[in-house]
Amino acid sequence: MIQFENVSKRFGSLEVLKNVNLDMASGHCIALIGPNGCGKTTLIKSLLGMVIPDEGSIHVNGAEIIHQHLHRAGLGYMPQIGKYPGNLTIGQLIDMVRHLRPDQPIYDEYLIDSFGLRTLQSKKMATLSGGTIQKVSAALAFLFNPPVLVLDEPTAGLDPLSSETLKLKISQEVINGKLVLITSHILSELDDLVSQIIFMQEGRILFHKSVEALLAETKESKISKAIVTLLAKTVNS
Amino acid sequence: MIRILKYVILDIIKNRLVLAYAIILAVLSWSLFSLEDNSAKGVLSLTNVVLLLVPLFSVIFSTIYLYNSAEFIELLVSQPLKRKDIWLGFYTGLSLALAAAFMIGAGLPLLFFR
Repeated sequence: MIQFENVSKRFGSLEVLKNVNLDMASGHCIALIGPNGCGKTTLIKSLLGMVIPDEGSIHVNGAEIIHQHLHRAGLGYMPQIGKYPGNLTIGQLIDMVRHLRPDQPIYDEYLIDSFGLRTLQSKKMATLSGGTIQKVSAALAFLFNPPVLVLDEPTAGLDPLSSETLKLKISQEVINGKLVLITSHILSELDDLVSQIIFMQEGRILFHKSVEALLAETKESKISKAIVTLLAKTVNS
Repeated sequence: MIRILKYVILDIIKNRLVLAYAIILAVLSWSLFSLEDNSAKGVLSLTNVVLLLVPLFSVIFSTIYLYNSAEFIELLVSQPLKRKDIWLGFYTGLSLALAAAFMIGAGLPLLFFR
């Protein structure tokens, strides 16, 4: 569904993405992991069109997306740290995003209801706590039922109950045949969620494997342990 | 563009800084007109103050507003919108809101003391 072909990007002398090739199919929940500064966010931003790659091409559903904007109708993005105009209320913000996409009139309001955002509708964004802002971001990302969901550290800052709700929703959407791309540093919470893992290091894709293959290869039962074992192996060899 | 414009204006109108700007302009023009017995002189001194104050405030306020909206612009960029429309929306929203503040602050006393 999403193909990256020889994507490279440099910021000045710093090469952030080096010849990245990826092929992501729908119906999977893919975890994008790697150390800080390995290019995860740049990869996501180039998919969203916030960063324009120097070389290579990105295709979504077979259509080239660089310098295009219409493909974003099929994307739901939840930023790591959301910040919204302080004087707008939650209700106004949600209405605004709806008005920005007038051609998508069918809404998925499950998260708005289950996070209890309806009772907070008239609260101003500036008065909200970090966790509530995360909930608004999540609700906005899922609102249009997009076939591709990009979640940047989705459960950071959420209370256990809400993060469970969100995880349940994510796995439901994966069963519905959507492509979910998650970046996270909390490996333990990915265990029951993801089906494929992309590991990046210094702008390169180290591996892109299904979880079963990874666990079988390292003979471990947890993703976090498997990755540590694999990394230790690459360092030693 | 219009859709972004609407919410930018909704956000700015409730901003205390813009309200203070309009009130300061109103107080300033009111007192200048009351001080001078000749309204032509009043207009002249008001022009001198306004020539300095309005560009200064507009530039500083717009810079602060755009800087604080960085994450909001990120949200807009991830929606199916053209970048040109996003910038035009912000530009016209800011211009209209600041122009309205100026009209209310300096324009009303001008009409009143004419």
